[in-house]
Amino acid sequence: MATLGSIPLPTEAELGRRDRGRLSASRRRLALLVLLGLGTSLGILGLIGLIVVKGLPAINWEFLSSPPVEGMTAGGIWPMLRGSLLLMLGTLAFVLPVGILSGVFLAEYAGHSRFANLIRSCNLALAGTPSIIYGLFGLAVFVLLLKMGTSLLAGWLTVSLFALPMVVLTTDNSIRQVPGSMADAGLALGLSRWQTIWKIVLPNALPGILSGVVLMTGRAAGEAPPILFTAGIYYSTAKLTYDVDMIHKPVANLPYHLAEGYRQGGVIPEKIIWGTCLTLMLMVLLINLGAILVRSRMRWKQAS
Amino acid sequence: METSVLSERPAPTVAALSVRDLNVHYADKHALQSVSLDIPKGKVTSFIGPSGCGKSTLLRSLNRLNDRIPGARIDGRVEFHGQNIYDRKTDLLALRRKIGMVFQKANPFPMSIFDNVALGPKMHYGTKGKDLDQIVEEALVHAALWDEVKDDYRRKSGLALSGGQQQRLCIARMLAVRPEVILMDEPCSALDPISTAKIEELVVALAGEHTLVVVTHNLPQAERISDFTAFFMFGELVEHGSSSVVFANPSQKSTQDYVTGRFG
Repeated sequence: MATLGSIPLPTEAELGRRDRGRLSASRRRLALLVLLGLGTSLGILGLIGLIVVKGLPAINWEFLSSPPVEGMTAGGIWPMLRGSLLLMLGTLAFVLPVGILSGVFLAEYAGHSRFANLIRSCNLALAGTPSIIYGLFGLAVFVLLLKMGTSLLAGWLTVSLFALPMVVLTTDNSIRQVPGSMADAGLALGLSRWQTIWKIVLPNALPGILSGVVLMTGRAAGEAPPILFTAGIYYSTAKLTYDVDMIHKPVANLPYHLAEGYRQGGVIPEKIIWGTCLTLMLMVLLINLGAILVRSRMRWKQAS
Repeated sequence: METSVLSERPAPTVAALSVRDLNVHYADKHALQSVSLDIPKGKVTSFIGPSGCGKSTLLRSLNRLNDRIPGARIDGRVEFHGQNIYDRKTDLLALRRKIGMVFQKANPFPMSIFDNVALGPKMHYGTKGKDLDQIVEEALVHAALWDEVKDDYRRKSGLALSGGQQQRLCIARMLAVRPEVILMDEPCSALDPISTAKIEELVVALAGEHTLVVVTHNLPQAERISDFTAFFMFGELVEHGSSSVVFANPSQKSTQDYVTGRFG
């Protein structure tokens, strides 16, 4: 009854047919995967290729460093590039400390309490909220209620709010991935909770945190909706200034320039639009590249 | 260097740590049941017993690292210098400065060998400059790691060392804070025989000036390195005494069965 082999196996010929069937099914599925992969890669490469081919002829030092002239129909995009860089730096300055400290609080102090999980859920929901909602919130609260007007400051705050949830979640995750044995080692050595977090846990998590922060800042810098009503300006002949006062003024920027430039239909030459497109793409690409370099350098320094 | 020469009847000893009626409950488990024992000063004590018998729980109760485990409830006393370490007013940082710990899996920090060892003295004593250099070197020498790392210990990461070297780095890191008591939680269970032998030599060399408590699954190791052995089962202390007696002539049947390899 319970002896091994009491149920007869299929014949060798039958098994051979089954094996051939399994092998060919395996090959068919693999081929499908390769096709899908190639298709996706080609799509992305095509998109990037198109922008590079169309945009590259427009880009030169002159284009990047001079303002538009003749009612936006000629000249460069320096004010927009400057605006985007300013927006990004300010966002980074706000998001870096606030996001990281919130993440540390969530991971190390709030743990898995009901309160902490509520905050995590909220952050998750906020991270998935369309950026136009942030734009309208910024308009209502920063621009109108707090009377900041359409300004760099209102833009910073709005873009920061947009980037913050993702940064908090990344920090929380990176810290919780640090093995508990690290914290054990610090505490057993007699370090205080804060010293253990600051000297051991956080440096361990930092490569992950930084790449999250920078990637998110790069993405936020490319978004038009958050700055649409809070900081953006399309056409200005005002002289660019670099003083404290500039945070109260609106700034031109790359995504807004693209959106408006296209909507105005034909005012801005196509060549300039493609050039702006490529500039924005390169800017985000450079930021991401920087993040990758910083991260690998840090990992390498910690481990070798 | 002091070797563990054992007589049938050990000389009376002073207790470095006295455990009295210690009970530890985890969420739904009574992990330690009314354990009382003295850890003799300047000696090596081994905790042995089958997995889940409570020996690591007891070890982690001695420097209050169990405080970290959610749902752990601890009652009873652990006396250190005449003070119950579970007193409300206990300075945890001072306690852990005086009672160091080495873990089962070596856990060096992701920084240079020098920084690994220097962190403790910097944080506790504010040591810097030449004094710090001296402390780090001494600690590395005492952990028998100096000769292997002296050429690049300022630059090389602790994570770039081999497993056995990492464990000795963790020992150096702990020695640099100058603990009186050293707790080791299966310090060799992830190491090869040669690295294990080096750690065992270290344990024996550190005894005398330090009090050591070593949790181990390796019975011959417990017999080789420890003056005293405590045998645990199901959260209870079954037998505690001089290692020669516990291994050669135990008074309990279950100890006899365990040390002769009949179970465990």
